[in-house]
Amino acid sequence: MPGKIKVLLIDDEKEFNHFVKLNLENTGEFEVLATEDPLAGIDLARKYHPDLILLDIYMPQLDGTAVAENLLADDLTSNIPIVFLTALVKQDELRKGSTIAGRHYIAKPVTTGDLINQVKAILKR
Amino acid sequence: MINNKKARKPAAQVKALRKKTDRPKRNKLKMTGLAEKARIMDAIIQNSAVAIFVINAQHKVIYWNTACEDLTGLKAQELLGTSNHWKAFYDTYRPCLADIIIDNKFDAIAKFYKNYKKSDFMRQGIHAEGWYLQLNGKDRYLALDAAPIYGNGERITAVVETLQDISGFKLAEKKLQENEQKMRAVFDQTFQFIGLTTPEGILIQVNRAALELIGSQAAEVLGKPFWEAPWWTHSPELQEKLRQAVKKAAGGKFVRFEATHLDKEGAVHNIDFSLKPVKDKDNKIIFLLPEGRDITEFLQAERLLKESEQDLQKCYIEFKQTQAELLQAEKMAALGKLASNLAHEIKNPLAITLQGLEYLKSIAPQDTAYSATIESLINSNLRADKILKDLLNFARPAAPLMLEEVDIPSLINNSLFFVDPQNNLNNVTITRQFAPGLAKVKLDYNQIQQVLINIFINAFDAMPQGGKITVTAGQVEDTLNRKSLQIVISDTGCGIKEDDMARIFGPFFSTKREQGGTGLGLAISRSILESHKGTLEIKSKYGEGTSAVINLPIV
Repeated sequence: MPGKIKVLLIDDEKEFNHFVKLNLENTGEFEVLATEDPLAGIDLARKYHPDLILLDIYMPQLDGTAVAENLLADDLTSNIPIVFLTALVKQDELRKGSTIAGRHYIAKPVTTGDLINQVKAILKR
Repeated sequence: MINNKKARKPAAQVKALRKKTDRPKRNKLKMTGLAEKARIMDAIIQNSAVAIFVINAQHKVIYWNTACEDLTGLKAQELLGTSNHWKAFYDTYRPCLADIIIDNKFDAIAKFYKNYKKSDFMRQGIHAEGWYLQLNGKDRYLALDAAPIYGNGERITAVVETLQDISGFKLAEKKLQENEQKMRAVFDQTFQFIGLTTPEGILIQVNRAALELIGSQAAEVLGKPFWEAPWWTHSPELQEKLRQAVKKAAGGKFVRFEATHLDKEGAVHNIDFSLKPVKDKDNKIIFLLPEGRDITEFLQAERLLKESEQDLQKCYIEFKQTQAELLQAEKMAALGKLASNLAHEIKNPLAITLQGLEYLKSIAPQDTAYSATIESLINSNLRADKILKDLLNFARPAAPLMLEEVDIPSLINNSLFFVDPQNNLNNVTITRQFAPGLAKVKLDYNQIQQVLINIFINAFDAMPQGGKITVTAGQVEDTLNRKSLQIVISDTGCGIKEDDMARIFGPFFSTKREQGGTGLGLAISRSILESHKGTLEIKSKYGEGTSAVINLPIV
């Protein structure tokens, strides 16, 4: 049996992180590390090298796009696919995200089913 | 004193006595009578108010009366017995009228007098008249009448000449002529058509403007009944109207009506016509005064003014509509900003509750009231998210159009493909009628597809029991030869109630709340078409079906 998919979730909404972690891990297919602190998120990415990072865009401490730039600039993390998970739905903001990493984004709110499908689809590529 | 003796004599004695003494007395009396007559004549001439002088056959003045002295300033005693009477009138010698008659040189009259003729007052007399400058200190216009006085036989023994100062009359006559000329000038030069008829309507005067209009001469129309003149003969109805108007005006009434006259080229002129009775000092109607004012240009101007007013009204309505649209656009822009901020604020808690509900669902016992409630809450959460998405689509400031050349039949077919699979169980037949050789059109593929999908969904929703959808696409031209692509999507569904027609484009108006409609589909569709400078029109008959007509300019 292949190993679980390691997902790093960086979002300033603590409750959101809590339920996403529970729902994904409930499937038995995912191992989720979650943090509300973007700087801590960058460290976690370096340390644990997840299969995929779910990254909120609008965070008061550090903007998600800045986090992505940091991760891409670092050889240790530059090959990890980043998926923007955001309630910011303006077209121009989505475009801004899409020019940085793998042009992936998922709009909040999202059902667990959709989230899993999209994450798996991205990892397949 | 009475002699009593004589008084007592018998009548016969008196008679006899008279006979005896009568002859010498009669002769004496005869002589006395002639002298008396001469004296009376002399007094008449001397005291006549008319200036009179008489010259004898030798051109000597034998009478020069007081009036003549007053008129000329020369006294009789200076002139009697002389031939100097000419000096009263002229600086150098020339014969007076009386001299010409004495000399019987009638051929010379024309040389000396411009105006002369046979006298109206004197038998065998001659009348002449003319201006005499500074005659006794005044310029005078004199009427001269001279006539011969015959002695025994045919010999002229003298000529009497009367002189009348008619300067006042002449000046009044001149003034009258001037006034008449002025009146005539006004009559002829005015732009109005003016004439004069008898109370029976016979035309006796007409001005130049009226004649020029019909290209006639006065002689051709004067003396005719007015209604038989060329101004009226093109219309028997107008002729009759005028005949009635003449009767009314002859009865003392002012009549006015609008008529038409044809000019010499046959062009129609609109005339404001009036007929007015003219009365003398005894209030008797002596003439009728017809007047016509050409109001063709006025009416044209009035028509143009009305058209301009209508245009202005139209512009005003368009302005109000544009103003309302601008206001709506402003509101939408503000709503867009608000919606965008609100969406972020709401979507985060929605995301949390959705994840939380899904977690609860995963741990709740299956097929219980708990799981059903959680499922219902999840659906409500997703519905709230859909409302937010539609609101953002509708209110978001327009994204720049990604224009590309699009093949219209493919666009329509692809759009139908999105909608059809979920409705193909509804027994709906779809007919496509695309004009052959339909040119590609520049548009934003995704946005127009969204419009078509919205309209197709509405059509399917209107026919839950099945029906027919007809899609046509072709090129049309408007009145200004501007080409546009027209797509018409018609269904045989339930149609739209008349009361609802005015509200179908309003945001959040929906008759499909039960089926999850947010009431933003048509509003978004119209907004997209407007950003393409196109239009969306909905025609519907309740119970029979609906047609959506899309027009997109071909540039």
